[in-house]
Amino acid sequence: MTKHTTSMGGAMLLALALASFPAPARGAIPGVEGPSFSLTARAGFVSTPEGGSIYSWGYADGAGLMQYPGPSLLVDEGDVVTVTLSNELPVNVSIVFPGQQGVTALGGVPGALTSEVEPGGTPVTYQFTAARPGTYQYFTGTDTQLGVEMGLVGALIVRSATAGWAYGHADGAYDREFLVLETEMDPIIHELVETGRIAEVDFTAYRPVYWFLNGRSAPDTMVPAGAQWFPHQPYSCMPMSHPGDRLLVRLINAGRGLHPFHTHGQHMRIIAQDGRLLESAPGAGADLSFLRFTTTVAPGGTEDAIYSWTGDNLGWDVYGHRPGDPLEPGEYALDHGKPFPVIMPDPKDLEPGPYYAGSPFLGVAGYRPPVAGTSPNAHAGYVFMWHSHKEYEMVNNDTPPGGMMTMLIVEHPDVPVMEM
Amino acid sequence: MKKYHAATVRSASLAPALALLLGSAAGCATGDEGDPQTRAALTSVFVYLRAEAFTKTMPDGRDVVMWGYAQDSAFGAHDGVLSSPGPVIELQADTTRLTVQLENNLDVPTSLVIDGLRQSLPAVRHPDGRVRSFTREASPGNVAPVTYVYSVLRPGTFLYKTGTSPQVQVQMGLLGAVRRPSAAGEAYAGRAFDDELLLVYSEVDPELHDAVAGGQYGPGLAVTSTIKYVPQYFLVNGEDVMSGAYDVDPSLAGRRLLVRFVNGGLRSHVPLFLQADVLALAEDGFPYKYPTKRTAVLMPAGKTADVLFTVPASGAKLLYDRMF
Repeated sequence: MTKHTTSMGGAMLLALALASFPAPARGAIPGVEGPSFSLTARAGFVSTPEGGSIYSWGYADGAGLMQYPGPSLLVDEGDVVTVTLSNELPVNVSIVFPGQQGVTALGGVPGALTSEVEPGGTPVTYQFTAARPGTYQYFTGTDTQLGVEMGLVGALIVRSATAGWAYGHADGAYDREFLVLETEMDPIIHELVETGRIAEVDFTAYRPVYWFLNGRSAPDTMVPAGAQWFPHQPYSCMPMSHPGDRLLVRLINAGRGLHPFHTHGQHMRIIAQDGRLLESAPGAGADLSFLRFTTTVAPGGTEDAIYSWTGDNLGWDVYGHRPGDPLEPGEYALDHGKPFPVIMPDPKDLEPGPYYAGSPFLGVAGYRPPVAGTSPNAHAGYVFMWHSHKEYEMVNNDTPPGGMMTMLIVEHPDVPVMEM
Repeated sequence: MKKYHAATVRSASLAPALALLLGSAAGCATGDEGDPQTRAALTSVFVYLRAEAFTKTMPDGRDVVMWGYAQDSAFGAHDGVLSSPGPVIELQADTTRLTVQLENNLDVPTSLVIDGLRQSLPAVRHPDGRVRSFTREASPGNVAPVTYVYSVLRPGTFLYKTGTSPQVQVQMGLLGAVRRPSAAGEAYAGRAFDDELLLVYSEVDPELHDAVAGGQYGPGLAVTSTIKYVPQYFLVNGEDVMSGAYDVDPSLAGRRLLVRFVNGGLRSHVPLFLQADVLALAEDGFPYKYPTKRTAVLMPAGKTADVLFTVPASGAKLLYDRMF
């Protein structure tokens, strides 16, 4: 066996990858650094993979474009966070911060849940102390039913005082972190709002037909963050990992529906809910954490999961090692050197899928029939789907596949993992 | 349109008979004091429930026929007020026996079950063998009460509802809440509270109600099932307020507020707390061994949940439904 990364064009691809993606020390969630934020509620258009363009509302970073979801607000534990909200929409807007306490609001007009900004009105400044690390969300507290549907949602991430820990305990330690923010849309409502017919919006006939992760529907979830053809959807949702990495998956249900989120390849260990470590007593660690291969986050709620893929218990060596070969970093040692239990068929009898790089082994490319085309899986990683297990949510307005779905790529330890 | 109703928190120190009204779901007297059958046995609670249709005018002016329950002072007394959800059945920490006597003033058979409490469930079947009711039925216009006895009681929050054709009768409104503390001012062992709030969720599909009330529901009729359930009204304690929020007043700061949630509807709902996170104490009347903090409480159909928190200085808001 030859590792892809040291054979054929692999070295060149690796060099290209290194040149284009100077790898940060650890995966980080893109967003806006706090503790002071200036957000503007304004309108824009959300692109969908089958060619749709949906009028939406969202929070913009200052003078920037409307974003769906709004900017991920990145703050540190203990920060005094201020968010100043301006409003260019035709309706009042506001922001509420579930999970935060002592939130004050200055300016604007009184609303049912918090102070609101009138269209073009004086801004409201919300302030709170981010007392506890965790994964949170924010959304409009004004006509929440319509505002959330239109896109006025976003993530708030309070980083722990200990770098690399999600919470104040080693049970929340992670190597890379990813945001998975779930939403959905019923475009009929958006059309009515766009054409000034808000009064005709009828939520009893609500029927979403688009489902999003971090504001994108598959396959756009896998297009790099910041791609210029998604001006209003700057975030991607493409987790990447080396074997043995602990991925912190920050799950947020920012929508209104229930989405059974399912990970292939490995279970998730749910360590926190609504920004609170699942602990039996302070300092006990995540001793109440639990394994799930499908988790349904309550709308308005969050969960943090640790996902770590090693290929454990497969019963064969994913690297194709001989017994005397050294262990790879993160390798599941008990299967070291165990042979692949299948006699590989002749390549001409194969009809490979797009992610099959030509061998069953991690980081090892092999022969792909020319008719199968070039695999986008350049480094022969393992590709695992993460998706809503409501299968009808894996479509884009009745066009499958798509929707609330993305792929995790586990790369060979020698392959630098690109931050998407 | 958002609607908000006034804060109505029940203090643990008040006797149940003085319970403040929560929307239209009356915190009802247990009937102990006036009922000769139970005067001698104060650990027994005796409740007369009457199932009957009534008309509710919704906020948009539409009159909808509901089926609800009233609590009467005696069988046939007809002195109770019909509501949906029905009156709260209040049990005390030392209540060892609950007896409910049912009068049926509907034009179809009905019955009573309490989800989560041990009870005798002799099924009533259609002639072809299919189960029509989970338990004994009261015939329309029954002249003698049908009695349901619950003698294995535990602390918790429970949903009572019709056990007959529940797919249609529950959504017509035949539902209510039962609550039992573990001690005065204590929800479950070691979980003391100062104030208490009970929120019963349900929904109304007025087209379905019209069909049932107009005799157009059933095999061969205009509406043959509840499969096309499209609720138009979303009720908390019987009022169409689910799009709104509950204000936990700052004057309650420092007090421990117990919130009991009951979902008697057919949809899932998610109450969401703002300015506070809450300790999730129990589900379906079963306390967690290790309660954890939440801000969002996922309430599938038929679920009950109890949460407890100390009201912060700012007060708090409870968005009735983040799924609304």
